[in-house]
Amino acid sequence: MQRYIARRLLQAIPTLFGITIIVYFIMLLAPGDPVSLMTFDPTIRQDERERLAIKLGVNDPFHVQYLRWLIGDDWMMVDSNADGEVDSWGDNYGILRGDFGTSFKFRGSNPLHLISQRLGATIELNIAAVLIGLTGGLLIGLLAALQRGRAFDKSSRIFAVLGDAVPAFWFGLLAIMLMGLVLPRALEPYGIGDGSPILPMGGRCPPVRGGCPPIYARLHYMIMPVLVSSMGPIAGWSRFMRASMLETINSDYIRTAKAKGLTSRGVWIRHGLRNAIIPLTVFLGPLVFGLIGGSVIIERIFSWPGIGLLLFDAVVSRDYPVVMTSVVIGAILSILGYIAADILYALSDPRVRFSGARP
Amino acid sequence: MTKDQPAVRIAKFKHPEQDGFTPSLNLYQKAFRRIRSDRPTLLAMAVLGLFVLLAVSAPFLSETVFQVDQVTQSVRNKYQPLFSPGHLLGTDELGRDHLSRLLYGGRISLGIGIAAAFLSLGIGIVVGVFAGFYGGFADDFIIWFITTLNSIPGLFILMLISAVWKPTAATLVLIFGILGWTGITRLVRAETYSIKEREYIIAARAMGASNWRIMFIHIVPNIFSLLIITLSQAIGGLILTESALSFLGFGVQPPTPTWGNMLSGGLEYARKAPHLVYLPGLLITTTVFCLYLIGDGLRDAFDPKIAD
Repeated sequence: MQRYIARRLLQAIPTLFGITIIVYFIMLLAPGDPVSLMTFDPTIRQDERERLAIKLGVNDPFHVQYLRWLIGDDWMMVDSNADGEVDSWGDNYGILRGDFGTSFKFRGSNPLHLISQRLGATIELNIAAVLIGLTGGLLIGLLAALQRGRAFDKSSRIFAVLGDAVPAFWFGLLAIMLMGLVLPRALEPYGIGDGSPILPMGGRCPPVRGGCPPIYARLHYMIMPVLVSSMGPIAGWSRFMRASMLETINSDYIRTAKAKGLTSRGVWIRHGLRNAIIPLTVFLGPLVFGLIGGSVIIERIFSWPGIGLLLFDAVVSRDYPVVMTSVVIGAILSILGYIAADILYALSDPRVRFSGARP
Repeated sequence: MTKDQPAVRIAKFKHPEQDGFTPSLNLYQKAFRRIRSDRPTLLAMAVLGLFVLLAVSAPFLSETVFQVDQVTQSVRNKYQPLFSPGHLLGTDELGRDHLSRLLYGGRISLGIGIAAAFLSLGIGIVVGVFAGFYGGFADDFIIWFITTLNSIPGLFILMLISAVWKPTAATLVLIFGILGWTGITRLVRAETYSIKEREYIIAARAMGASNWRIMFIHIVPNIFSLLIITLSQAIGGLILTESALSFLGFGVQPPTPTWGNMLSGGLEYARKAPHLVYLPGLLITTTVFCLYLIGDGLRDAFDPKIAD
């Protein structure tokens, strides 16, 4: 098992390496070089700009710039006073040692620090969405399999396709309009509420200084974002669960269990459900991945202060160091999610062999 | 059983249907028969066909039939509700006709989805067959590249690229195509792996077929049914992605209408004119819903394991 985990982690290294190349390449092609961004001030003279360009190394060939970004330049001599000759050691540590440069927008902030401030909010939202998505999806899928061919099964299948087809942002907007506009207006004449929104329209907690209160005090802020982001997982997992359950109950050991006279609940839950869940762990990785990607949308609709919103703001304000850091961190989180799901799968199913077979 | 026994059988039952035999159908004939009796899929196809028809005839419909156009602004006619005179689906925040913009927006949204799906399908088939057929280093490299690309959350990289290049509809198709081929490649590669060892491929090789001929005349047609299913889901997924990107403000830029950017544009005015939010979203949902239903229907229709 340790060898399997170690190998999965080793396999992630080339992937990570590729991600940094892709991200750096896209940013290098971006119009508006960092020099003109940093020297937007018209009082800065042209020769100073050139000095800055040399200092930042933007005239170096791609691989040199990439290496300076990746592993830093404190091991090589750079031309710090821009006189055409190398004179001193560089002072970047490179992203591999946690130096992602400094944010343009929040002067002097380390992008990693900005992200670590926001990470909690994203993780909190996604864990809640995973829990609700799994519980809801497995339950619906189980019931659909038990009621195969009947009304509940048919409607749950339509619902699952619909859940995949509704754009999350539109569903979120409808939820906001319902809770903030339609329902309060409809309920006011009956003396329920005062026409103000039923649930908070966005944010993670009331705007107070000194951070958010503990999670149990602001659960009502989570209701809408969590429901909206768990809709996709509920839809997907109810389908997986139904298919897996139907496959399981057609297998021989279920017939044996029935034949030896177990109650149908015993057969369904003890023998069926537990075996049907195992293959589903394969889908955990994509689930986490999808939630991280979708966090931009959800956090934007509900102004949830996570890394999705941070990335969005950074892209809008062209804060390239923060953009690159968010994408790299998002990718690392995704890779970790995949690895964790694979390990969970290996743990839950002893039949999985840890051989190096091709997929 | 001797060799010529089948010939005798065929000679004996000249009219197989009358004699209690059904003629053997090929995969596509069987699928067609199943689809013909699959009502939800047929309905989804009809609705989607209607949408495509509406989008294709958008200029004719809006200018000739409804006598409106999508660009004329009018300060006096802002936020007209549904079914107002002259504007069947109301007007938006600039007084432009909403119906006309929805028709033209459908053109762009559907067009981007369909074109990008075909582009990524094309790339995916070529790369996938190549990787699966040759294996070895090329395969390892392609798989590494796919794993890498798939580890970056899709919207993250799309936002990055769109913010950098400010795409038009055409460049967006290119971007989606270039980023979207990985799933199809994986599928095609896995199928190629299993097909290339089969007997008819060995037979083709024995007859002197070149690698190219084997790949594109013998392998690709055999995974064609798989590709049709994938295509309809890919179009749906791409329409969703386009609308999400537009919603964030990184898709096709206004004033060119797409369902996605109409929706995000209508967001600010939801209080005054809720139909600006309801309608584009409803159209996106319905289109994607139909595409997914068709994909599911096709999957069942082509599934050899399901008995008639």
